[in-house]
Amino acid sequence: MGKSTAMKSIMGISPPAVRSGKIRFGDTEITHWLAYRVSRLGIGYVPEDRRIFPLLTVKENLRIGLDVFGVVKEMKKNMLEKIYGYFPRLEQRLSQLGESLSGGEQQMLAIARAMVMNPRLILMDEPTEGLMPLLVEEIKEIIKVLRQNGVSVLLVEQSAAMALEVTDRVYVMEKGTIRFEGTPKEFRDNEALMKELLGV
Amino acid sequence: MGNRRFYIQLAVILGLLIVAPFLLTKYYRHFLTEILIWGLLAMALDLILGYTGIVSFGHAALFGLGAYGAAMAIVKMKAGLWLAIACGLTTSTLFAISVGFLSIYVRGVYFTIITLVSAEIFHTIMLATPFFGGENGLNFQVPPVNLGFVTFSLLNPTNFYYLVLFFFILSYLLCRRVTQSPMGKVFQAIKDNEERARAVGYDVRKYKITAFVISGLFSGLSGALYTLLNRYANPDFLSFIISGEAVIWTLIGGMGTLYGPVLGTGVVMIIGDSLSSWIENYLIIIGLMFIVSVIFLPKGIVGTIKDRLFLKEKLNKDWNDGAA
Amino acid sequence: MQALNGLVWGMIIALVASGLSLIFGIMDVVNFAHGEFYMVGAYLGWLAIKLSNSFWLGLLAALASVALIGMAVEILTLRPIRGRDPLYTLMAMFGLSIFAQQSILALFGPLAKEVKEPVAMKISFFAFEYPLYRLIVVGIAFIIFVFAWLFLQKTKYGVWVRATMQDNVMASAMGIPVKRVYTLSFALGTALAATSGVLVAPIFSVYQTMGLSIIVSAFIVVVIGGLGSLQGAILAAILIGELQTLSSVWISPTYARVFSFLALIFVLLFRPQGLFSISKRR
Repeated sequence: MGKSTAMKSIMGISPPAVRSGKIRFGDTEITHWLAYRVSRLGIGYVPEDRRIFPLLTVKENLRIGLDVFGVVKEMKKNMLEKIYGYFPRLEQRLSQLGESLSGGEQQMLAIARAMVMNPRLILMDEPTEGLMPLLVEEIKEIIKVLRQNGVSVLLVEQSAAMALEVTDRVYVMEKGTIRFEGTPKEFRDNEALMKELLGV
Repeated sequence: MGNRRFYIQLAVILGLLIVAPFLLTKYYRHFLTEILIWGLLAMALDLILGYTGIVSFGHAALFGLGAYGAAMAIVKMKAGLWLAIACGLTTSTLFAISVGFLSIYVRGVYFTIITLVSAEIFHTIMLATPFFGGENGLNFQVPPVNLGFVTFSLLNPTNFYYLVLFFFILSYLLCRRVTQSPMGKVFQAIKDNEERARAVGYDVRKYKITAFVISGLFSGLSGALYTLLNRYANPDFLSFIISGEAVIWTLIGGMGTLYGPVLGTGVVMIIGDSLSSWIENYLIIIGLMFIVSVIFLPKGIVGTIKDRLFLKEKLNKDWNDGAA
Repeated sequence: MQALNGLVWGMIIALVASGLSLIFGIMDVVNFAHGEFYMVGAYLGWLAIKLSNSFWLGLLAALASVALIGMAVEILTLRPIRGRDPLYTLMAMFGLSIFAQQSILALFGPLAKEVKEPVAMKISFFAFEYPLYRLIVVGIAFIIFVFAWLFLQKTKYGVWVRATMQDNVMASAMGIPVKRVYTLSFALGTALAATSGVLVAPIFSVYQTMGLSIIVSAFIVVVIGGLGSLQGAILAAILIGELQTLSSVWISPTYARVFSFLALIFVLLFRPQGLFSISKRR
């Protein structure tokens, strides 16, 4: 299966359904769990093509993640403040509808609303696709911030260069199988593999 | 190869049906005639529901208008049998064409809504218009059949039965021809995946209208035969209940097989008939049966049996392949 | 005066049509049994009113019961077939309507039931007197719609519902229990229809085929207004209500309905997606 499909399987988004094997998160087996359970377990999802709610405002998009848990008002406010800190541009656009945001802003919103749920793991599917280099840099910064805060990020990326910069572990998938797993350094040192898989 | 088997099976069933009137009592003869007529309606519905994937909740309109067409021809124009039937067919087909053309503009579910709504509207029209007989409908005498070399009266129910049987078999063969033709294959492609059919280049709308019109033709024939059998036409012929029953028979019998819905008609009518001796509103049970069937047996009787047989065959084949 | 009647009738249709539109907008289900929930609501209302001797208590009881029935239907009938070809959902709901109609016939008999107006006063307008009750009906419908709007726009659960409408996959990925949203939305939609049924009972009496007759109007409204659009449904309903009532001044009421049908065809030919339809993500 492809990279995106693998992510969707983890997230429990239909289709696809897992046919063989298991998915485990920590000690919990989540193979056939539905998406809302997976997300409540602490896994956030930033899909390909962003998919923010177009007819909800930025604030509403963010609040969904917050309101899902029975969290105290104080904590919700703090969380929101934190997110605004990382995404100042979003704070400016709180009452605008999702569909009126630019591509880059939508991507930020997609990441922000996953972060708002205070997840232990965030799945990001091609977050930099179609974005200007400036925005790509911003996303790299966000990923670093997440890492600093102890949040794991599972990143699916076409751009190997970008991926190698921000990650601790690399898995290279080709035609559905894993061709390499290891640290970025190990990957870069393996010139033969790099040449074959990336044409570098 | 499959063809020969088919013709043998057809011959056997045809034989049974031909002999049937002599083995049955008067009540059941009439009942069988009705099964054939309603079965024809179910078959017509199957053409669009089971083969093209169009849902119609208003087939009673096609049926009822076919009936009124024939009845009006006899009452107002003193038409003979064949002309009456032809008028019935024409009426229903015209209606199907009109409704069909509306469907150019709308997508799937809206069309289903239109079928329901137009049937109800026409039901209301028939009820309210004295020209069509209003609440009481029309009553008439059935004209004799004139085949040129022999004339016989249709007052004899056995004669009528054979007339119905004739039309039934004729319709079945024609419908079968349609489903097996290239056009029929396109119908099925549309049911499987309309987007793909369109992408491949078929004018999906044209095919859907054609399917609906053909269905309308045979539905009208069913209606015309029904009104001739009972010698009256009544606004109830366009009622929601009839549309509903047609859908129920088609699904329970097995959509997409042509003969499945006929079987479904027979089964449900027989069950209904036996139930009606205990309970007045047996449709409750039928309705429930239907819902259960939709959830658990969506392929109907015929479909489920075919699936089992197919599975058995496949298992056997795998077994043999494995052993080899 | 007929214009007022048109408004009243329009509101009745609007309540039913909005439930229909809601259920479609949220769950992608065209509820062909919707008219029967209206009818069952009316019958249960009649029964409850008879037992409790209070119109308003009866209304609440009927509302609540139908909501429960709606939940049961959703869980037992719609959930199992959710992933399949939408064809089957249509047919299941259709079968349900036949089942419901015949069950009511069996339980309550073929004679129509009468319900008395809870408020018998008449208000004097310029040239005529008008039953206060009917104005109350309009008022209640209006309040319901306002509440519905407030609910959807301002509350947490309203946001959940709107999110599910726009993208049910991502809604689930955000932790929204989509299955529960569906069940509750269906229950709400059917409760709306039932409310309408009870409200209309004193005006037009209660009979088995009322479900069929209202669903025809509701469908016409929903197609004209656009499936999934609440404002569209409400506006179109008032339009159709007026059309049907006003035209019945000159022609018999039965033919008046044909007029609404013609309106439907007209709209379909020139703006097939309805006047206000929303675009949905699949």
